[in-house]
Amino acid sequence: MGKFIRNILTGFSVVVISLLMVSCDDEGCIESVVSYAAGSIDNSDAESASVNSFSVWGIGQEKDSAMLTNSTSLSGIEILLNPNDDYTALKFNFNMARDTISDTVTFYYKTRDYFLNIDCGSTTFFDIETILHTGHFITDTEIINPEVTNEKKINFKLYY
Amino acid sequence: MRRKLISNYIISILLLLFAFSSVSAQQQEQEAKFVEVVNEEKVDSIHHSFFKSFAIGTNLASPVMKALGQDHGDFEILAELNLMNRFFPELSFGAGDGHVFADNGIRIDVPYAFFYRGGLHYNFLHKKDTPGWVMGGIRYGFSSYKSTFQNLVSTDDYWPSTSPTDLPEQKFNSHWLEVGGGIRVKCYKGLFLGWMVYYKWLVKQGATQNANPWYIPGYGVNGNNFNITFNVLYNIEFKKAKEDNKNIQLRY
Repeated sequence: MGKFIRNILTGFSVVVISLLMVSCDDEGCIESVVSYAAGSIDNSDAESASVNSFSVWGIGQEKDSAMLTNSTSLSGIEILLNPNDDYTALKFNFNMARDTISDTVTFYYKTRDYFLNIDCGSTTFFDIETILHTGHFITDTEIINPEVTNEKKINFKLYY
Repeated sequence: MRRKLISNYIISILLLLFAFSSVSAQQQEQEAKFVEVVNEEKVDSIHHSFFKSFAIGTNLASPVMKALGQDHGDFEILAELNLMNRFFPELSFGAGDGHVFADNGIRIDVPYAFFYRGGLHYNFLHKKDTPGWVMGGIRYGFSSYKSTFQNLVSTDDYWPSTSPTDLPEQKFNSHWLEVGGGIRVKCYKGLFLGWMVYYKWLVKQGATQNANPWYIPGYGVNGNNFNITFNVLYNIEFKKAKEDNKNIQLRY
């Protein structure tokens, strides 16, 4: 019995010390700290021209740099909403076979500061209220899921 | 902060080793005395009364770690019944707090809040009249607490970063389960020392519209799935159980 108890004590202590060693391993941030508004650009009219690629600019962005450049993925676009304001205006350039058509899409939303965890820090979540657009190429918009968080889900659709 | 944590863990390992060696020594001493009194094979048939003993105690691991500089910690009092030397229902309550100033500038304060825990352990050596118990069990815990979060900043690689903001006081209700096991060894008269290791997980995290909890009193830091306790208990045998033990001694 004495040997049995001693073995249990030794085994248990090894487990305890191993767990403490594991606890020392700092995993860091393993989740996304950026909240993307995800959506798609869908064709509502079979006869309309097809889009080869598109680019997106944030209007009012200080560096005037493109958010997306010549993207060909119409079904999975991810845009960044401005966390410093309650709206974001985006200029879309749609490149077709012969010409390029521009539209402005404006997202209106409420922002929400969110603490994720001690390693990742915080981010901003958005609750989309309205999407307005000019009608040169885009014909309609739809809010699928108004809550924009750091978890991937489809938030909106743009139709042309 | 990480260096501080590692040093805390190294100190805790040393403490664990020290306490282990002392418990082991006490254990051997107890065993030697025990072997003198009874023959081991005969003890298998020992009858244990239903209400055998009652113990009160505490977990020293968390207060010691906090005293060594950990940014959170709790203190608890637990009460445990020994039924037939086999089942050990346990109830505990305590309070904990936490304060951290993270490397990313975020400051979080969790003022003292109570937590409650209940569970049941099973003694795998219930047939043996050993000077200790090898136990496994499950516990459920609950805590209702508040937290404040300061200097939150949102950054992406396109828009300018937001100005640091503070969240209004957040109120959380968290529930969790713990499954684990360990040992308890009689050291002196009714005094028992023991280790327990639990795997724990949040059944309900209780996140608010603006935050996930950082520290949960009684549970620890959100995201940490292991809990190690170092229990000190004083065990009081019920009268009937004492008489049973006396009869056993006389029989041999």
